[in-house]
Amino acid sequence: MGIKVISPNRIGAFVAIILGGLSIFEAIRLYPYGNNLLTGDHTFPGMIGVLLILAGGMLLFERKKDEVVLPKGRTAFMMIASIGSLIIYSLSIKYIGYFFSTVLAFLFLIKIIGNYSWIFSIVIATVLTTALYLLFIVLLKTPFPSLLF
Amino acid sequence: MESILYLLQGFSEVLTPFNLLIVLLGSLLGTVVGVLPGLGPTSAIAILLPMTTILDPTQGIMMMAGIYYGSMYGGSTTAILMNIPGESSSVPTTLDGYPLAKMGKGGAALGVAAIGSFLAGIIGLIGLVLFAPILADQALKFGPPEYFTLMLIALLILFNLTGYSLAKSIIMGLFGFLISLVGIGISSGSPRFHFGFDALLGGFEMISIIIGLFAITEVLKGLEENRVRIKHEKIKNVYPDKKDMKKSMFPILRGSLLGFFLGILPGVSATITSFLSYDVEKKISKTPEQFGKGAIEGVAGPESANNATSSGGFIPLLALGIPASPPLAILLAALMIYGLTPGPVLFEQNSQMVWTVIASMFIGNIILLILNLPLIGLWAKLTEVPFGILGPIILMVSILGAYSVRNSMFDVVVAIIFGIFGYFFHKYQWPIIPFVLCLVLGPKMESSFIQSLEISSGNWLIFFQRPISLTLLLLAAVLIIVSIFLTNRTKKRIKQETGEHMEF
Repeated sequence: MGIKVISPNRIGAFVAIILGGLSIFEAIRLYPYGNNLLTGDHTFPGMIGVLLILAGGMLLFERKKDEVVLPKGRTAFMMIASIGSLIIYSLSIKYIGYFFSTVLAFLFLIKIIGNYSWIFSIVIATVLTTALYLLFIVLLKTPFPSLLF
Repeated sequence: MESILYLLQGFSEVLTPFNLLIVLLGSLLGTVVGVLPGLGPTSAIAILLPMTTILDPTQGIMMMAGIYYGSMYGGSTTAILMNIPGESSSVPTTLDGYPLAKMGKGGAALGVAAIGSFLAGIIGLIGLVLFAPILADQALKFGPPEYFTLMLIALLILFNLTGYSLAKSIIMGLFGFLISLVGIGISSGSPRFHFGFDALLGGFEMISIIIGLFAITEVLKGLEENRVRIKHEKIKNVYPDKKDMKKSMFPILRGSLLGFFLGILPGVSATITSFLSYDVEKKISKTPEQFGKGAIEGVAGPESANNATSSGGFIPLLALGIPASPPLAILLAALMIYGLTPGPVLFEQNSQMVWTVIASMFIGNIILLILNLPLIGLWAKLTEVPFGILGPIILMVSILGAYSVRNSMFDVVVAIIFGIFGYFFHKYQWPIIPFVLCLVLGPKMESSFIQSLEISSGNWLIFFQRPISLTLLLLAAVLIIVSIFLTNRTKKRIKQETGEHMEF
């Protein structure tokens, strides 16, 4: 006896209905700032909210077609670790500066995605970080947080 | 005649060493990214857009255009040599391109694809020079109601075009609108959808979202598919022989004309025209049994149709400010980033820039043809870059690119979140094309709608009472029927050839 799992399409439909509700809520909040019902900052949020609820309702009655298999094991780990490392990178760059955080992020990504040796990964990570430094900081003059570099 | 004079003036602007370098660099960069397996024109433009911001608007747009058609060309390399179409419009190219590569004629197939792309590109550009100014001139008569109607029609047709469920397309389009509304409201100046977060006051940066949806998602898809170094077929001679050229000439011409004339209609994508061209060639061929086994006409026709449709897409983009496909939507976003207003006013206010960019496209196509034939071997080598190196490069360039647009870490987080969203959208077949187009067109549609209702004192009938608006609506009814027929046909063909559903 398996547990009946709600279909992904239905989850999508419910999310659409919730977003629609949220949009209508925002339209009601903005209504006093507008000139009248159809010309103001509330008009589009209101219309989009109603349409989202209708389209979500439409999807609720659509038949589910394909089964989706999500990745497992090492593949899932690689995907989660890659995204996790990007989030950590975007948080750490403020504290340890562009160069070290970028080398570390590259090293981690090359190691988990490519599974290369440490020496090779360190060399490639340093070369790529330098190349991106030249491109983004020297050429494009992007003001990244920096400590030593 | 006036157009020709403007174009010649445009040529005189482009033919300076620095501008030529920009066009060359754009075409080469586009080809490099397009050649990488799985990355198509949309990802190429999204990844490389932040790097063009250092240039002045004209040079930036010239480079973006170069990246666009360079990546279109690059996509055919992986389709022919590795049986991997970068975008669904390259699927027909794989049908005969890959068998030709296995027969040792991959070089000839790439050569024919390059020549076909060049001729189709030039035909498309001639059409652009002839039709865009006329359309822009007519579009000057458009007021907000006509613009709103036009954008609404374009979106409705495109919703049908995605190849997935209509309800999902509509939800994704509305979600795109919703995201575009975040920030300061256009009428009262009060913040919308910020929920107390200051970071949301400035709205979402669309480039970050696009980078997430196309570049980061692509890496996640690559990780899931366990992309490793894929062997490609060896290349011998890159120049097609006389026999191949003779066989390809008419398919190239037919594909170009079909691709261009159908492609300027909203709702007819490059995927539709390339499949149509493939089927036309097969039908009129004296040896239809050769198709699917390595018929050079099966490469020449669809590749030309694909490129002609893409060039044709510049007409509504430049003349009306309406993109027909995701890469053109990003180009539209790029124009906005450079402070330009796409549409008829662009031809009036920035005439010199528009004609310089159009002239640069002619030169870019010539550069691509000259460089690509001798460099085919190098492009093929690039396809061997292991995913273990390529994946991290795409991820890091995406993150740094997202940051560099507004120097904001919030945009980086947005790119990462939309990268995750994009993966699940792909997995559960939620089309991203309506999302991107509504995201880009959202603010413009909202302002046209509100202005229209202000003109009419809140009367909805304004969209039906004005002659141009009414004509557009009637035309739309016909176009939607044509679009539904062609879309269903293409859906079946994709399923037939690849065994799966694809967004197109």
